[in-house]
Amino acid sequence: MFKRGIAIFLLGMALAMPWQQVQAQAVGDTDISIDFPNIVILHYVSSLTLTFDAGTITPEDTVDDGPVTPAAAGITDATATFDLGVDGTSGSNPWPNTVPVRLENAWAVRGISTSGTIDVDISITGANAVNGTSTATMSAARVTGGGQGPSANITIPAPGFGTPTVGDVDFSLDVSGVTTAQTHTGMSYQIQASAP
Amino acid sequence: MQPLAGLHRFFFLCLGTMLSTPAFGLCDNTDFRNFQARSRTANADINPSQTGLAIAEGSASVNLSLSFATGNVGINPGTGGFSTSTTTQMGNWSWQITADTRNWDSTDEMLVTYEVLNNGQLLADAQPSSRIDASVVTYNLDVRRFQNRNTRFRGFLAVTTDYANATRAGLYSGTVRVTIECAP
Repeated sequence: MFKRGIAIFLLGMALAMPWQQVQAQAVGDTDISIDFPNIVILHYVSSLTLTFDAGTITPEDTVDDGPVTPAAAGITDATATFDLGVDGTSGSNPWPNTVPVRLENAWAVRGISTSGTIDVDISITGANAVNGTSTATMSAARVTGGGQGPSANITIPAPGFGTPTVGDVDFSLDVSGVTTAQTHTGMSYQIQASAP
Repeated sequence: MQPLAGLHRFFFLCLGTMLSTPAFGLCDNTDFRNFQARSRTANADINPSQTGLAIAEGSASVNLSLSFATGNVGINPGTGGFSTSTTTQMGNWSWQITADTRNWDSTDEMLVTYEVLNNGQLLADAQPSSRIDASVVTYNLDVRRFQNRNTRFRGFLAVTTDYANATRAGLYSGTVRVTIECAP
C-alpha cells in the first residue's frame, strides 16, 4: 500500500514537472481606463496688417474731389497706399460704401471633445479703425472652416492634435467714412473655440 | 525484488536532493503564486489650464484690393506651445503576487515587465478608431513579508500616454499584461 502511494506520488511529480516548466513566469492581465478631458487649442494671428490696394477699385460715382487716398483698416495696424487720380465732377466719395473682406487661413483649431466636435465663434470686439475723423467700420464677421460656414458660429469635427482644421474669416468693411489714406487702428475681432 | 522498490529509492533521492538545496540566491519562477489584478480607472493627469489654449502665431500682413478684398493670412501653426504627452498614476495597486521567498537572499531580483496589448494603444470607449499610445511603468512597489517568509508584492502603475492621434475626449481603455519572473 505504501509503495502504491509512492508510485502515485511520483506519477504526480512527473505530471507536474512539465507544468512547472510552462509556468516559468507569472503572467496576468489588468484592465485600465483613463478619462481624457475636452482639450481645445486655437491658433490665431494676434496682429494683422491689412493693406488695401485700390488699383482696381471701381468708384461708385464719378467725382472730382481731388487726389483721394482711401481706406486702410486692420486689426491693430493698417496701411494703404493709393494713387488713383480719380477725376470726377460730383459726389463726395469715390469708394464703395462697403467692401467684403475675406481673410483666408486666418485661424486654426486642434483638439478633442466628448462630442467629437468643436464650436468656433467670432465676435467683433472693436468695430472701428480710426485715424482722426477718418473711420472704417467692420461688421458681420463670420468664420468658415471644416466644411462649415460662413457663419458667426460654426461646429466642426474635432481634428485631434495632428493636422489642425484651418479656417477663414470674412466681414464687411464700411469705408464710406474713410477720408485719409493713412494707418487706421482700433479694429479687432475675437475668435473663440470651445467644446460643446 | 518488489517492482516498486526502485521507485521507492528514487523518491528519497529526489527528496534528499530537495532538502539539500542551498538556501541562498535561489529565486525561482515557481516561487510565485496567487497573481491578482485589479481594474483601475483614473482621470488623465492634465492641468486644467492646458485644456483650453489660445496660441498666438505672431503677426501677418495681407494685401487686399478694395474691389476684390480677399487675401491669405497663411497661418501655419506648428506643434509648439502644447504637449500631447502625460503620465497618469492609476491610484491603488493594480497587481498583487505572493512569492515563497524562504530561499531568497539580498541578491535575488524580480523582473516585472508590462505590455500594453492592442499594439500598445488604448481605445476610446465612444469611438474605438480614436486611439492613444500608452506605456506602463511601476511608480510604487509595496512589499510585505510575512512570518512564514512569504512575501506579497503589490504594484502601482503609472501610464504614460501620447494622445497626439486622438480625436475624442472621454474614457480610453486597454489591457496591460504583467509578467513577473526572477531576474536572470
